[in-house]
Amino acid sequence: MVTTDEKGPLTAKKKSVIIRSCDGDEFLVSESAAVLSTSLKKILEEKEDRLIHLSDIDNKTLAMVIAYLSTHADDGLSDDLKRSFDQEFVSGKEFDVLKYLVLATDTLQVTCLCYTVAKKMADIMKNKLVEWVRREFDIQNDYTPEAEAEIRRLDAWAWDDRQLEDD
Amino acid sequence: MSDIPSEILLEMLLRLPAKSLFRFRTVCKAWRRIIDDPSFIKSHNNNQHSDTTLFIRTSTGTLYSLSLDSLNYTNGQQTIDVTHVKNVVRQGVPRLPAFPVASCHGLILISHYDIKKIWVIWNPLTGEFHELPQPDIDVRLIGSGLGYDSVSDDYKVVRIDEMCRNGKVVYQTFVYSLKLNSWKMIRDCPCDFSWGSQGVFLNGALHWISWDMIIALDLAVEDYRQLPLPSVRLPVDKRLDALGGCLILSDAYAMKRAWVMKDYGVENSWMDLFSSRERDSMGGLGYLWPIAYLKSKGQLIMQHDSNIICWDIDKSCAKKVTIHGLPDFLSSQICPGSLFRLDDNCCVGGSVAAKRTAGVKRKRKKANTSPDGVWKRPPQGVLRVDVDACFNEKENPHTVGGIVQR
Repeated sequence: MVTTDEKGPLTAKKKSVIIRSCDGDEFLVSESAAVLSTSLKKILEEKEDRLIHLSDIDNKTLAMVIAYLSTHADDGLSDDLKRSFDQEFVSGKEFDVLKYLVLATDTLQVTCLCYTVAKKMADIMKNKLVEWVRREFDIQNDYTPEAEAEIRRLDAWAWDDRQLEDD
Repeated sequence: MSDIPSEILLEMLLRLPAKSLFRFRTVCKAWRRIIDDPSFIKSHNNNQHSDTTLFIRTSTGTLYSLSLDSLNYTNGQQTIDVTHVKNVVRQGVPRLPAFPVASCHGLILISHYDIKKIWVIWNPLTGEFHELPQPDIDVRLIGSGLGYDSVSDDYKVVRIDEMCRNGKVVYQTFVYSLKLNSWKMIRDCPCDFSWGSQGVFLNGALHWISWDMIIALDLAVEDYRQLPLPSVRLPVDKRLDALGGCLILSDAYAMKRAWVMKDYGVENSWMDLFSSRERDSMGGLGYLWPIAYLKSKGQLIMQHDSNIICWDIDKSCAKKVTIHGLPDFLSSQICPGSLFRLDDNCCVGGSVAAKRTAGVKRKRKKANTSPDGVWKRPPQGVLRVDVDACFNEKENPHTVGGIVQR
């Protein structure tokens, strides 16, 4: 499958690259969009090959990142429109999806998307229970029950006033 | 540990409110190490520009907080969470006055003109507060302020007193260092300004409004400089705020005019926020105060009596929301949550404690008397606030007010 971004197929003027996800899907992306990722920019500077294989980003995540890059590379869009695109882009996404996205932004070095996603993840996390956080981040609790209870007791006010969520 | 790279985890944690971070210290020991790290606390403080927690103080002194982001200016009606905030209640410590009060990075200075009153730096989120030793002076307070000096990584309190020295009126300035827990006198303030003025903190300096200029006290070098006012005819009663990383000058009380200094220190970067006709469209009568400047959204949030007005600077239009269920005569101020522990970071313990001897001696009077009248020595400088506000309004931790848009 080759998916083109909004700018359409390869033209003489606009250079494109093909990016392949870890599950083999290929995406045709304009070079102006690809170079917004610091990693892709480096790869393109170093080699002639217009096919880039990303071994640790799946097709769904890659499609999202490319949609983001293409929008931000579009000179016809105002900053306001790009900002509202960013808001739309992360809204309603599951925490799991955001986790894959943020990992992809790390691999591809897309700083502004990383910040947008990190902000959204923080928004989801802020009213969650500690147990929820441990589950989502796959973290082993290394406190003894007594030590944990003591920290909670000292800052009991932090638990006092809101309905904390576990889903 | 999870597979999220540590830099990304840090970016995420930096974007969490301080209150959530206090809870997430119990996720695991590694998270607690990150959250308690002084450099993380510093970065978190500097990241709070977008935090729009609004503190509301009623005329009887009860405090509430709400999130300005939770206000929806398009829906007809909504409910919002309003959280009750515990006041500092301690003998000898003045009550929190009406807003605006001196504040910096989510810490608040409770000061008072009466030399017998004990000044405190207060973290309203944790309830912790730190009592300042009283400087050995007896003069007329005209200005105070709380700020942060990034060079020495220290919070500093300033008091400016009007006094007569060698037959001349001078504005004597004392600076208190939280790390050293002591006051020291610096160069006199070069000019007078209106009495009781609270300095606003921005870019490492405290700022006060004078008749024809802004006086800035750089907290790192501890010296004064001047900043220009807009070169237009200005109102006599002026008010200065530091909101959204900018100085905002307005006509005190009625806010008939308002200006923002877009580039700090640059005279011709002062820009009108609205014209007098636009001001009239927001309702001519009543008090109007700026409470937040959301630079990226181009919005100025203001309090108009007990309503909140959102002024869209580019589109020149105002939206108003009314919060029901709160008493009239409110004052309000933005105050982000701070992770700063007033016990770990100030003068208590370690090498810093040795420097305390240099400080002005603490004059304690009735402050050490507990409610049952028995003299008790407080734990080193800091107390958590356990007592609730002793005012008439009953405690109501989850007041939910309906909001009606006009």
